[in-house]
Amino acid sequence: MAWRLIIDQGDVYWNMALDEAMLLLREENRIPNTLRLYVFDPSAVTFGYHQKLEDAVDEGYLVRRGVGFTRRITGGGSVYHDKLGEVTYSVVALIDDVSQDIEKSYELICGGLVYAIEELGLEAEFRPVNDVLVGNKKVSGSAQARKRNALLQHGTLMYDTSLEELARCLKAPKEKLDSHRVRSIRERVTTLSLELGRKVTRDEVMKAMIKGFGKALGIRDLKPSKHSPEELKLAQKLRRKYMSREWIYRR
Amino acid sequence: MGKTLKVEMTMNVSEGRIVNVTISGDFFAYPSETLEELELEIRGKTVEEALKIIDDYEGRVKLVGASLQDVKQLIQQAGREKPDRKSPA
Repeated sequence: MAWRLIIDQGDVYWNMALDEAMLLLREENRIPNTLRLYVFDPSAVTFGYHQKLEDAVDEGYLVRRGVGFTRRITGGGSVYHDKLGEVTYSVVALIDDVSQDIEKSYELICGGLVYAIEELGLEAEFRPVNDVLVGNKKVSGSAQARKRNALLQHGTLMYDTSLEELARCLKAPKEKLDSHRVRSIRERVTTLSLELGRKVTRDEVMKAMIKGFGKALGIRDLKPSKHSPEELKLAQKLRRKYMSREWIYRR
Repeated sequence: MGKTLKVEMTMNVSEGRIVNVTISGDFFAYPSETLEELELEIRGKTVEEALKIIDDYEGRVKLVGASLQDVKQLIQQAGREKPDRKSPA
């Protein structure tokens, strides 16, 4: 079956709006399965659907520094999307083309990241539910939402993220850090560049991701493509939600 | 890595009823909105009634990284907290 490949970039509200638009339109069979690779420009923060804003991010810091932030439709934790150090992926597909089983579908899609990292010369490991680790440190987190027969899974791959900035933007609950026996976020995350000991470029990461997801999802035909006018129009409408206080501060 | 689950509950102590409850954290719920329906449904109920209602949600929502049993436990715990405790200002 043919998949679309879309590579683009946008601000945090636009990026989240496009992902939701793709999920809604996939569910209505208006678009094919899609692998989207994108960058946040400018750098920004997203946090999980069920998170309380105050538990997820340092709002004061974000506001002072003018870092944009919004809530995702997917669960999971907070993410710092570094314009110059991170690629985000979305997989939008029919559930039947991945797996009905939620845990399995996470593993299958995250397998694309594991392959991509191996392609770059590192050993990587999927850690259920939604993490990918290199040398026991996190380089990627993913989150999945489902709507009837369709799924959206999106996630981050940190190749050169500023971990100092990440630690300033995000909050991790004390209990969570205690359970990991580490004292700071900084100690449990890493980047591909740090692990490889050289600067990895966005271009080579994207190439490796395309190869990795192709292998993990058994995609034979991946066509470079663009969003349809219908998708862009819906995203335009949804963008307002992601900018609204009502959505961002809902819990 | 471990997920967090947090339950915040306001009780009307004299009536023994739940005024408001918020279930938050970095877990996943499928479908995600169902958890909010649950929050609304247990408003105005006693803790015992709430626990029964949560049992009825098994099969309606699947939590990943946490469970409805965890939610029940936290609600029970919150229900046992001393009412004269000052809320942190």
